[in-house]
Amino acid sequence: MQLEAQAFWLPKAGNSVEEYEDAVAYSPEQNLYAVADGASESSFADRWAQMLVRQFAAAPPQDLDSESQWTSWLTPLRHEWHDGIPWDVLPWYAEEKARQGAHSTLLGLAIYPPVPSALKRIMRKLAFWRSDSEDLPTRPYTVVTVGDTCLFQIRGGELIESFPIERSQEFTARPILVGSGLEEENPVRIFPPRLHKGSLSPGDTILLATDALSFWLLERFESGARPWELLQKLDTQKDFTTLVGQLRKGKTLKNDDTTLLRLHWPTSRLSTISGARLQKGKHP
Amino acid sequence: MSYTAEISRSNPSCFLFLVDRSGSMSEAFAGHQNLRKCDSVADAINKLVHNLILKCARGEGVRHFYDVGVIGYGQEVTPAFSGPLAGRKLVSIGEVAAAPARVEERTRSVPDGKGGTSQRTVKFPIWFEPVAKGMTPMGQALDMAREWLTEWVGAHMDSHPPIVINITDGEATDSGPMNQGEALKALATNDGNTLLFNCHISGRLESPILFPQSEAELPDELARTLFSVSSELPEPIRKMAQVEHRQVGEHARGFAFNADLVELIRFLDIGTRAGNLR
Repeated sequence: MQLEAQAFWLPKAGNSVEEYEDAVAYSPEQNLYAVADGASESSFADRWAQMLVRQFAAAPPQDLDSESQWTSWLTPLRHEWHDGIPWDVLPWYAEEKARQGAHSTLLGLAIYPPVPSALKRIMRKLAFWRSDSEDLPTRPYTVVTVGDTCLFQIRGGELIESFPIERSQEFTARPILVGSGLEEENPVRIFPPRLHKGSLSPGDTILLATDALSFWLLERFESGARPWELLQKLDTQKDFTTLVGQLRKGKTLKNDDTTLLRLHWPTSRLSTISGARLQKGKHP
Repeated sequence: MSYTAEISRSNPSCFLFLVDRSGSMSEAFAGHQNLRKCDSVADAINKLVHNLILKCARGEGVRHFYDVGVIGYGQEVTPAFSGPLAGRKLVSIGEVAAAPARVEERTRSVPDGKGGTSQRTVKFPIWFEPVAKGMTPMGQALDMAREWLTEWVGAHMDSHPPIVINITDGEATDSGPMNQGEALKALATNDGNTLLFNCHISGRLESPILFPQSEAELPDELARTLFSVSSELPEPIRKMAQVEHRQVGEHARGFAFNADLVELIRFLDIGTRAGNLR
C-alpha cells in the first residue's frame, strides 16, 4: 500500500508567490520525502532550497549517517548553485550578498518497505523483534534534518514523535542551516545532520512542517490542544490557505512562508470494515 | 507598545543617525593615535549602512524594509549624505544602495578555508564623509530629527518605531540634549515610542561600557546626561543582544560609553536586528 502524500504551502502574507522560499519534493515510488526552508535573509535561497529537496527526493546519500557522504553529496549542488548566479550583471550589494551563500534547512525522510508480519513473528520468536503492534505490518523510516523543519508522527490521535524539536521554546531565530557557499569563498561547517529512526504503522500520519507551523503545533500541544487534527482534516490547498489565514490573523501563527507535507498510511479495507462493525455492535 | 511589529515592505522601519561633526572630532580616538574620531565614526556609519543594505538585499534587489537618514551637526545642522543623495532627508534603503557617493576598494582578512586567513579586496561604498568643524549643536540636531520623524511616524503608524542613534564626543553647546531628546522619544507609532540611543566616544582611555543599567556605572557628568536621555532597550532588542552572548540587564539602556571602533559597530549592528526579517 502506497502512502498518501499531499503538500500544502503558502507564502508569507505580503510576499508574492515568486518570493516563496520554502520547498517540497517527494518521490512516492522511492518513498523519499523532503522539505526545506530557505533563509530569507540570504539571497537566491529559494533556488538553494529547491535544489536540496529535489536532489534528496531523487538520490539522497546512500548512508544518511555518513558525514563524508553528505559532504560529497552537497559539493556538486553547491557548484550548481554558484554557477547559476548571474554574477556579471549583479550590482555590488547583490554580488556581495550572493558571495555569502544561500542558506536553508533540510529535512529528508526515507521510508522503507513494510516488514512482513510473518517475518516479524519469526523474528519475535527468535527474540530479534520486540513490538507492541502485534501482527500489523510496520515500515521503518529514517529522518535526517538540519535546522528547524520538523517531523511529527500521529498515531491513534496522539502525537508520538516530534523531531528534531520537542518543545516550542527550543526554536531560535538562528537555526543551523545548510549553506551553498563554496569552500574557498565561504567556508561552511561540515555537518552530519541530526538523524532519527522510527517506524510507521497503518493509520499513522506524518506531518513535515516548516518552522512557523511547527512552532504553532507544539505551542498548541503544550497548552493541551490537538492541533494536528486541523491539519489531518485538510482536503484541498484552499482549506490550507483558509486555515493559515485564520491562524495568522489570530496572531497564533507567525507570518512566514508556511509549508506542510502530509503523509498518511491508510488502514486496510478489512480493518476499516471491522472497525465499523465493532462500532455498529456497540451502538445498535 | 511592544516593539514587535514585523518589519516588512508594507510596514518599513526607520534608522536615523545624528553625527557630531564639531571641531573636537578631529582629535584621536581613544587608544588609536593615528585615527581621528570623525574618521572612525564615518567608517562605522558607512559599514552600518552597508550591512543594513546586505540585510535587505535579495536576488532581485534590495527590499524596502527601512528608510535611512543622517543628520550632521557641527558648524551647521544639515542632512549629511554625500554624493547623489546630498541634501536628502529620509531615503529608502534601496535608493541608498543604488547611490553611494563613491565606492572605495579596501583589503580585508578572510578565512582561507585552511585554518588561516588571506587578504581579499572588497568594495567599501561611501555615503558619509568625515567632517570636524564648529560647535556641538546637539539640541538643534535632535529638533531636526523630531521634525523629520513627526512626518514619518504619521505615515507609518503600524511600523516598528524609528531608531535614532546619536554619536557624539562632547557636551552640547546649545540647550540640548534633555528636553529635545524627550520630545523626540515622545513620537510614537502603535508599536512603541521612538528609540533614542546614544553613543559617547571619548579620547580618554577608559574601559568601554555598553548597555549600562544605571548612572552609577558611568564616569562623568556628560556620560550620565546622555545615559539619562537614552531609551531603555525594548525586550526584543535585549534578547537579540543576549543571543550575541552579551550581559544585558532588564533595565539596560541604549547607551555606549567610550566604545572603541569594534564595540561601536557591534552596538549598531544589534540595532539593525531589532526586527525579524525572516
